[in-house]
Amino acid sequence: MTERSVTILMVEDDPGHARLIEKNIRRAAVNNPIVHFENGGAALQFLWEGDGKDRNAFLLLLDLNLPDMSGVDILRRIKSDPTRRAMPVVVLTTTDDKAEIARCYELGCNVYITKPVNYDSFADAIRQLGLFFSIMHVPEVPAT
Amino acid sequence: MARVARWSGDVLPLAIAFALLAIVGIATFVLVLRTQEFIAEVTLARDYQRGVTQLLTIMQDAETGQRGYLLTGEERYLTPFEQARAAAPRQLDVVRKGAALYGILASGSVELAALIEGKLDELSSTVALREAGRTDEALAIVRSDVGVSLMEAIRASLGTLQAAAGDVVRERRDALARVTNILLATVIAGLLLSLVLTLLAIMRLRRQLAEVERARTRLASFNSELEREVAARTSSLRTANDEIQRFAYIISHDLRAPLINVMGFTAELESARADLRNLAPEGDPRIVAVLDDIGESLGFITTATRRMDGLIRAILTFSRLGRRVFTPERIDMTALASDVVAAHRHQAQESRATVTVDRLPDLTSDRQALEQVLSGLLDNALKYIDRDRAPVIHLSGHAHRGTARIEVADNGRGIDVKDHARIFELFRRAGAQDRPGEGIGLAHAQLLVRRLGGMVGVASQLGRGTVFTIELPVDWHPQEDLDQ
Repeated sequence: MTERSVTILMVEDDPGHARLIEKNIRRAAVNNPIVHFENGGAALQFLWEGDGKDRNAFLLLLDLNLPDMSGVDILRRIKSDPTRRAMPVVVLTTTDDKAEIARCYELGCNVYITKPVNYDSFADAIRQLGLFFSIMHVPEVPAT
Repeated sequence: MARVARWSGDVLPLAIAFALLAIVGIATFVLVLRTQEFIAEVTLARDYQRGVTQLLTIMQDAETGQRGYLLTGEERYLTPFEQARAAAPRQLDVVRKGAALYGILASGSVELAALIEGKLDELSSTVALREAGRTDEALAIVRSDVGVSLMEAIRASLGTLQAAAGDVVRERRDALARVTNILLATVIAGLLLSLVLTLLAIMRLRRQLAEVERARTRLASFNSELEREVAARTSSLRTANDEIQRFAYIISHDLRAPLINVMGFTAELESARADLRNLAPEGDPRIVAVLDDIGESLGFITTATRRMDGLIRAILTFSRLGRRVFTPERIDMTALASDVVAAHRHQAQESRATVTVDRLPDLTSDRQALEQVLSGLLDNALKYIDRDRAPVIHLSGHAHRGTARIEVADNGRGIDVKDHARIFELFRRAGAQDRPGEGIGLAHAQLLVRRLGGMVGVASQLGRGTVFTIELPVDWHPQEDLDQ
């Protein structure tokens, strides 16, 4: 893993969903490394205290319904941190509740994807995301 | 029973007082009549007394006329004499009748008549002698004092009569005074009774007013109790409603998570099966058969999970509808209905349906909810048409006493009477299941209309058509405690 490559951080408590997401990311020919967290706490720990503390080349796939906290809390935490604010966040959730979507965009999420049962459209969305990954330029913050 | 007792206890003195007052009134009337009678009698008695005096005067006039003529021989003195002589019998008659009436001097009246007749004869005879020039003879009769004694007797008799008449007058006057006193007493009694009656009536009125006031206070306390109870019920209903909506929301959320896995991995299996198939295009026919079996199973799983997803989405939508905050605004319903019809133009053209909109009553309500309701009903009307006739759909309405009635009538296939209640339930549909749908449209419509303080009704005959009726308050405002 080079310093310049973007690592995908996936916060998803449902192992089945995590596996499906990963499979589809790979199928869309996105080869970036994926780090999976089963709860919000572990993801926050990684970003602020753990291995990811000094790096910023991340893309966050965030599930809103987590066992230990709401994905919205994680989103708010990231968007209120000046060094993390630029990190692209893709919110994944089971609902298409308009109020919830609006709230996420307000907090600064970049893309909102409803986890559809319709598997094909989900794969399409992931593939488009792959395209999104490839053109995306994530500025590296110099380590302090 | 207590009420009856209180009533009689209240009414009895009043009734007695009223009866007494009536008696006093009648007595007063009678007494007034009696008083008038007594006054008339007193007057009559006085007239009689005067009549007795009159008789004496007449006799004296006759004597005076006779004396004047005897002295002077002048004819003019004869006139009063003649007049008195003519009047005396008439007046005597009056006096005798009166004496008989009052029962005085019954025997004396005969004597009086004789005396008066004797005196008149004496007077007439002396006048006749003087006329004949026999003045001395006439004077001799005068000097014989026959006339004087007759006159004395008449005077005495009339004096007695006069005194008796005076007694009668006094007696009548006393009687009048008695009656008058009784009348006065009766009137005073009447006044006192009226006073008592007024006091009783005032007391009774005050008691009744106090009772009304007590009843009013009781009613007010009942009302406030009722209001408290309604508020408590409303609050518990609201809690229950909130819980149901939260429940629906959580269920739909949490059910979708495993469903995504089922769907996702079914798709994975499907692609794995396709890969296997590609790996051995000319493979063992037994393996191909197994792969086909797997494909069939996966197909069923996919169909079932899609259906399940549809149901979960419906529940989610339903719970959202229940939670949406409604904002009342003035709505031109005719325009709104026309817009809804325009939005369904394509669908209407496909089914060759004629859709007409009457003038509808304007409302203050939630625009979006009403659009959804009308749209749902119109959608149903266009969906469940009868293929044997040209579909006709008509929207009409009117307002009456603060309630607007809007009707969506069609000549479609109709709904069996036994299904009329069922069609408003979630996921329930009626008739042949040959049209796409989840069975949520009418449940949504009912939910929305109920939240807007109204109700939806249906009248339908199988094979004839259906009329859906929406009843809504013309002026709707959300109740804070129910709609938050």
